[in-house]
Amino acid sequence: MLRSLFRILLAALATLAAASLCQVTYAQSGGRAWPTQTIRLIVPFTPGTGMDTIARIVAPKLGERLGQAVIVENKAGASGNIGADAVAKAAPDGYTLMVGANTMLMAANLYKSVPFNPLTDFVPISLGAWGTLMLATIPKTGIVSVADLIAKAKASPGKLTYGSPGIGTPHHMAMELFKDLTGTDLLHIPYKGSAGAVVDMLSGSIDLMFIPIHVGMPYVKAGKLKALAVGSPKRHPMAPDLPTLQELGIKGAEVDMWYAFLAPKGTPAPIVARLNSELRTILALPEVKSAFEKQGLDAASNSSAEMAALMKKDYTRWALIIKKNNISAD
Amino acid sequence: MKIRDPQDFWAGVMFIVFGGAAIFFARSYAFGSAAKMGPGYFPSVLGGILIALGLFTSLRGLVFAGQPVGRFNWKPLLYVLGSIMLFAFALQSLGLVVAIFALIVVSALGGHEFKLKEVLALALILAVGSVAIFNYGLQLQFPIGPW
Amino acid sequence: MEIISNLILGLGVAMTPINMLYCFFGVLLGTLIGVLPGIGPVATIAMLLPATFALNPVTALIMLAGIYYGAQYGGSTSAILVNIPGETSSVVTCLDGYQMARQGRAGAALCVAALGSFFAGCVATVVIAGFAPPLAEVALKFGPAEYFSLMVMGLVAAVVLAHGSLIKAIAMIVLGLLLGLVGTDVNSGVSRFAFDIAELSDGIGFVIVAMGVFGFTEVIVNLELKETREVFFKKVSGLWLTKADFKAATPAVLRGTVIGSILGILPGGGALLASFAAYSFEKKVSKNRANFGKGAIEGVAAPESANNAGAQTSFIPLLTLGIPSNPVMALMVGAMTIHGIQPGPQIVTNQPELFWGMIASMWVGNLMLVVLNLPMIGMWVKLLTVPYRMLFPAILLFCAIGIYSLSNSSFDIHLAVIFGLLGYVFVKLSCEPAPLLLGFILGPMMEENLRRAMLLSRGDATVFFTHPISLAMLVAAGIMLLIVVAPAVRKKREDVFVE
Repeated sequence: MLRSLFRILLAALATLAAASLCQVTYAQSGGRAWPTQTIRLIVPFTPGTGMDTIARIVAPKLGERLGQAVIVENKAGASGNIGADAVAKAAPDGYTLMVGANTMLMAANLYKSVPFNPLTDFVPISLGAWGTLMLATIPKTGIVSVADLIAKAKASPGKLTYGSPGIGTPHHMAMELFKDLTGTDLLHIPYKGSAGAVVDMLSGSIDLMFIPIHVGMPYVKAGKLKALAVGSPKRHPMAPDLPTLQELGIKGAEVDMWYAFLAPKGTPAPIVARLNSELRTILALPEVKSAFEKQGLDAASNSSAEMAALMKKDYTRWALIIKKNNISAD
Repeated sequence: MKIRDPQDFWAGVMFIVFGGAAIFFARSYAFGSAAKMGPGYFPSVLGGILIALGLFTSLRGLVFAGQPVGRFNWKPLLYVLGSIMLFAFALQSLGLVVAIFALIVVSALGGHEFKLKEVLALALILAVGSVAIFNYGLQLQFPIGPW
Repeated sequence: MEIISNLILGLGVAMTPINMLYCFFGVLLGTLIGVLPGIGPVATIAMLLPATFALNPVTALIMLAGIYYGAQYGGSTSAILVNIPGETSSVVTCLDGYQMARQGRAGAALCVAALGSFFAGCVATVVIAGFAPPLAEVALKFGPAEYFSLMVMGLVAAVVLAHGSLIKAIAMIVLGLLLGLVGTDVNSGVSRFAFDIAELSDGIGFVIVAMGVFGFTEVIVNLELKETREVFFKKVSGLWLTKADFKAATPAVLRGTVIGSILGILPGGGALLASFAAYSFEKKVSKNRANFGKGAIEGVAAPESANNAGAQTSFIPLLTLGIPSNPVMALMVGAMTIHGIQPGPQIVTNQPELFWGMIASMWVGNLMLVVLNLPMIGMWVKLLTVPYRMLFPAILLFCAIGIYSLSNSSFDIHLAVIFGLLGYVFVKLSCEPAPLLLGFILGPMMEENLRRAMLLSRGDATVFFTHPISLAMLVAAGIMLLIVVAPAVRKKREDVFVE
């Protein structure tokens, strides 16, 4: 009896051992200084998300350079707050790192019960990537330009609707910023993730959305969506003809998604510096750049101080928008 | 009034309790209107329906005769659920191997027969197999031991 | 004859040795993780994603798709053998499959699941090949109002899942709906019934509830029984299907395939409903309906075919519109983008090799699954002859590990223990858990779509009746409700007269 159970386990074991051949571990016996053990790179979102892909592209390269395995661990939940909180409270010994995004700063302003402070509980290591959002509409609305959109929205306030993958996402906040800067009134229809919002847009249920440019472009090319502008301060190579909101005269309309590498507060400066220099090299590698590009991301890096400044700037900016427009949650 | 169908009666009570709890906690969420439903709308309505269904079930339990509620067998209940909780606690502090032994031995105590040697052998096989499958094969991140 | 030339192109891609090898590897791994409760295809695909960097994109996607439908196969194995639904789709397989296993007919149950799935997979492949683009348009006819009405119809169908008291089944659905609301509200961002517990703010995971009320409860209840002392499964009779089995299962497989293929197309949770809908429908139309819940082979054949057909046609919105209909499909999007393919409406024309290669590989993969699984049935059935005193601790262990692996948190395990306790209370009160689970799955989607539809209509509730598809589904739901309730009402009147 026991034998048959054992045999089954053995069979399972053999196949899975084969499976593990696909995976390459870089565990090498470390020596003296940091790092002497496996480093955990926490991703506060589920596998397959943009952030997860960044981590999984960078982790093996970082491991190779540090001579220690860097393992990606998904600690998803509560719009990233569970993972971020775990990192904020982790030992600052350089063995727990995380990938964060500007969503963290938006959420911290939006939810009362965020258990950590995104500015003071982390030491930024470096920026990781920029993502570009594109303002798009459906052909049915007949809107041809941003100016047209503003005119139509002003003519009938609250009539046009826009979707987002959820409250406090960059897509949502970008539109709130747009509303604030242009004095328009658009009705927000939140979704759980962007897939549902895109479906309802294609089927004509909602009119507008800020959508990641690489996701939106295929629909624009197929004539199912109409692109109006990009939210970043510079035009995007994927759609060089598409103007930026700033070019169109909407001052301060600068909305992007960024991703960054962070460590818990108190992580020794030499470790942060070492990680920063390794990440800078990795993020400049052509294969990393092209892997990111396929995800609609532009690999980028900066110094710890620059990253801290960027976080601070965004934090205050979103706090203002959220307060001014009475956006609330919880 | 006599309870003639204890199963229905107590099931109804359970539904009333859950429905009541839903309404109670939903009171702190905005109710909203039909056009702009607040977060409290749906749970309050569902809670109300559940209470109504519970009342109906309980009343039926008073009118129609039915089955008695079976006796609670505490032994398997406590050993099985306890062993799983023990596993959860042990996993984080003592690692997978210790946690597996704890779960297997304690849950086996809840069975009809307990042969220590057999149980330890089973735990050993499962521990080795699990580490191989989950840690190495599937690359799941479990702490293996307390170290 | 374009389809034929396209399929030949696809087969040409799928049948290259390297693609066959990876397809086989995918379905094998998928079967294995499907059998292990809790370890789902999402985690596995995510883990293998970076490993596919080096592969040709078609090969990578063929392997990942193989893991997905392989896991569906494997999931039914643990549902039948030990009453643990590892996936939403195998909840209803538990109902009759496990009863069959207890009667010593595990072989027949596994066999019909494998053959039914294979047949459904073949049909669904043809459906995708022939009609993917026009069917994608159907998906776009579904707005929030339509989805809400679809959920209402699904809930009415759920009443049929129970074989005991009707009113208790309805109450269990409502309780399930309420449990589904735990977590952050999509529309307002308010955290509901989470009591400031961060782990609850994304809601309770399906696997946690399913393992608790099905897996843990089942073990406890079995340990209560005296006769489980040695082997509690009756002597295993025949591994293959009898003539009578074939006769009973064939129409069920056909109906299940049709239902699954249709529902799978809808991106907003249609595939989730497939197995439930097929089971409910079968229970209503089958001549053998009295036997449902007690080991009816139709009760395994219909939902298993439906879920495999649905799993496959859910690739339609992905491949033609670029819309992922579930987390696994979202990962497939990730896999495509890693290789520089942006899923969207142009994929069929721009990447014909990828599109047709993947479709053809699904058929190849399904064939491999049958070849792989039929011989394994003997082995699985043998597993049941292991004395229960050794089987049950192992079941508990795999459940616990599976739950932990969901988000690397022991909180989830404790939560599952609570559901185990609740499940035990349900058993004592004769409340069946299957309707609760369906309510639990549908609850959040139902509320989301209701509120979204009302927002979009500015509070005008007539949208549900002015949209033709929505109206049709509500009418269907009403008729179904009448069919379900009428006999119960009549019976109660008889009861009253008897008293």
